[in-house]
Amino acid sequence: MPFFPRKFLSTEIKNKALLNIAEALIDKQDEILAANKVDYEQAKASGMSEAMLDRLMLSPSRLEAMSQDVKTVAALPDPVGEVFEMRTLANGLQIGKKRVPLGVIGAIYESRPNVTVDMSSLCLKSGNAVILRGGKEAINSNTALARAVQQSCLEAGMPDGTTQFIESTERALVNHMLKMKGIIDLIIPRGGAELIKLVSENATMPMVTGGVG
Amino acid sequence: MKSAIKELEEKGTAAKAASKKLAFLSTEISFHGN
Repeated sequence: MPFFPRKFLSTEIKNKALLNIAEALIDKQDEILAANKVDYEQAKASGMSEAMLDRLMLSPSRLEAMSQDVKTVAALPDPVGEVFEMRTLANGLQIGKKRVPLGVIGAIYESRPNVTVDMSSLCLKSGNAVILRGGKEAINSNTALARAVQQSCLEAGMPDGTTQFIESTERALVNHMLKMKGIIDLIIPRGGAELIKLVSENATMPMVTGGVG
Repeated sequence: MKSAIKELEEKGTAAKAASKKLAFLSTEISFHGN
C-alpha cells in the first residue's frame, strides 16, 4: 500500500515568503528609506560617531544587497526534516538525527537595521518564530522593515505571529527579555562587546553568538 | 515600563503559539492510500 508523506508548511510556502520579503525591500524602499532618514538625522543630532552612523544608514544599494541576501536564504536547502547520521545497529534497528525547529528565537541587536531582515529570514527558513528587539537608534527603520516582513509572510500563507517586533525602546526591557525562559528558547545577541557580555551574564535560556559586531 | 513589559509578554506569548503551529505544520505526516 503506498503512502504519501507531506508537510502542511511546505518549503515552497517558506520560500515564497522569503521571495516576498526580497521583493518588498525593493517595492517599499521609499517608505523604508524615509523611516531610516528620520533615524539617521536623530542619531546625527545626538552626536553618534561616523562609524555607527554608517551602520545605521540604508540606501537603495544596501536594500538591494539585503534583498539579494534574502534570495540566497530562499535558495538554501530546507533544514527542517533533514535526517542525518543514520546508522544501523547490530540488531538491525536504524537510528538517526532529524532537524526540527527550536521554537522561539529572541534576537537582541543594536543599530544595524539589516539585522531585522537577516534574523527574520533565517528564522523563517528554519521554521522558528522570532521576537525582534532592535536598538532605539534604528526604531523607525526597524519598524518599517518588520512591517514589510510580517506582511510578506502573511501573503505567502505563513501562520500569523511568527515574526514579532518589539516597538518599545526601553533599555530595561532587554533584562526582562533575558528572563523569559519558557517563552524564548534561544537568544541571539548581535552587537558590540557590551551587549554580548550583558546577554551572556544574564540570559536564562541558551545563547548563540557569532562574536562582536 | 509597565506597558513595555506588557507588550513584550503579549508578543512573546503570540510567538510561542506561532512556534507551536510552525512545529506542527512542519511535521511530516504520512497518508496511507490505495
